[in-house]
Amino acid sequence: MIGPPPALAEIPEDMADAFANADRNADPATLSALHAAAAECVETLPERRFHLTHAWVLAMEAGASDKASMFAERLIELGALTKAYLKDG
Amino acid sequence: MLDHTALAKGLAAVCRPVAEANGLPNALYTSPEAFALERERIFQNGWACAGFGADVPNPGDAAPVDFLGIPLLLIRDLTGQLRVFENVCRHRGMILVAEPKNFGGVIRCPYHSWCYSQDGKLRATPHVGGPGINAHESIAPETTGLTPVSMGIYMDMVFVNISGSAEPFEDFIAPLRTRWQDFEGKPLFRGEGSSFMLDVACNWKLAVENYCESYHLPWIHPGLNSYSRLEDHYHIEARRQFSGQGTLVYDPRLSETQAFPDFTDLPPKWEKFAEYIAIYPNILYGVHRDHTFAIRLDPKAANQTIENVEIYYTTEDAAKSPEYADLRKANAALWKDVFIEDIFVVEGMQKGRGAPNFDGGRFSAVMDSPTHCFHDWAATRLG
Ligand code: FES
Ligand SMILES: [Fe+2]
Repeated sequence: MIGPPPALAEIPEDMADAFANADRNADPATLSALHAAAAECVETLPERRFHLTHAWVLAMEAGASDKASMFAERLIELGALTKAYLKDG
Repeated sequence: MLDHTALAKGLAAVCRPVAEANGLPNALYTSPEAFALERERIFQNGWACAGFGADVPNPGDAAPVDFLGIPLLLIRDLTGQLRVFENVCRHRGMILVAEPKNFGGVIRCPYHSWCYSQDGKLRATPHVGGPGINAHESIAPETTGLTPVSMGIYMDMVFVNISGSAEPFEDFIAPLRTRWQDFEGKPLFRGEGSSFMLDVACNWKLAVENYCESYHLPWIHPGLNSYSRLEDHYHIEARRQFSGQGTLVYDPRLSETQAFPDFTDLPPKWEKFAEYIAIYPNILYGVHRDHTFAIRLDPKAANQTIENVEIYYTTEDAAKSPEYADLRKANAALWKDVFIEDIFVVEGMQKGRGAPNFDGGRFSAVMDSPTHCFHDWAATRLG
C-alpha cells in the first residue's frame, strides 16, 4: 500500500546533522528510520529513491521485515526495484 | 623447487607393506610447494573438517573460517539448518563477514551493501542500476547468491569438500559411522569453558601420526601410562579411511565424589573401552562413555598447525551447569596437559625433517601400523 506522496520539504537541519555524524557501523534500524524520514522531506524523485533505498536495505539488515517490505513496495512503485528481489519473488 | 621425481619415488616407498615401507619424504613436511599440493589434493579435493556446529548454535549465527587460505562462512539459517558458503560477496569480492556474529536480518556487504539472506540468496543490490535504482537487467538475483560449499555433519563436525568432486559425504563417513554406531544419534553438548587452542610449530601430518599410535604413551605420557599401560591398547586401522588406537581400561579419575553422566544405552564394553581415531585428514577424535573430544587441525604453513580443541558432554547439564564447572575444568586441564606433552615430540620431528639424509624413517611393523595406514592414505592422495 502506497499512500499519497508526502508533502516535500527540506531535510531539517538536525537530520542533516544526523547524517553528517552517522557512523557506518551505527544501528541499522536507527539509520533506516533516519532515511525513511528524509525520504519524506526531499524534493526530487531521485533523492526520494536514494533515501528509500537506504531505508529499505537497512531495515532488512535490522531484520525489520514488515518495514523492509513496505519500503520495497514503494521502490517498486517508483521504478527503483523489481519483484525478483522480494523474498518470495 | 619440489623435485617431483624424487617425491614420486618417496611415495612409492611409503605404499610398501609396513615392514618394508619408509615414511613420507621430508619435502612433504618442509616445502611450501608440497604444502600447496596437499592443500589442493587433500584438503580441497576430499572431505575435511572446517568447524563445528557448536560454533553457530543459534539461527542467524555466522562464523567466518579461514580454511587453508580459503574464506568460508558457517551460518545457521533461520530454519536452523547449518550451511557453508564461500565468505565472499558476489559483487567485487569483498570478505562478507569478518568476525562471528548473529544476523537477525540480512548480511550486508560492508563495501557497496549488496545483501544476502542467511540461506545465501541475494536480497539487495542498492544503486546497481544507478543512484536510487536497485535492479539492473545484467544482475539476476536468483543466480547471484552466495556460493555454497559441499558439506556434511558428523558428531557436530562440519566437513566440507571445496572441489565438490569427492564421493558423497555419507559414503565418506559410513565406515566410521559403522564403527561408532553405538554413539549414533546420541546428543552432544559442547562443554562450556572447555575449548582451547594450541599453536604448534610442526606440519599437520605429524600431529596425525603422533595421535594414531600408542607406542609413545609410556615415554611421553607417563601419567596416562600409570593406569593405561601399553599392553592395554589396541590398533584401529581402516585402510585408506582412518586409523588410531583404543584402550581397554578407560577409568576417569577426575574427582573422588563426582563423575560426568554417561551416554545412555551404551553397550557394556564402553564401560572400559575408549577410542582415539584420526579421521583423515584433519580431525583427531576421542570417544569415551562420558565425553568426547575433537581436535581440528588447521594447517597454516608447512611447519605450523593450529590445534582447535573442543570437548563434548552427554547432557546439557554436564556441559553447562555450574555444578559440573570444576569437573569440566579438571577434564579440560587433563587433556590440555596430555596434548601439550605431545608438542615436544611433534615439534622435534618437524626439526628432524631438516636432515637431508632422513629417508622418511622406518616403522615398527608391530607398533606403527596405524601411522603407516595414514601415510599410505596420504601417499595415495598425493600420488
Ligand atoms: S563488494 Fe560487496 S557490495 Fe561491492
Ligand atoms: Fe600423545
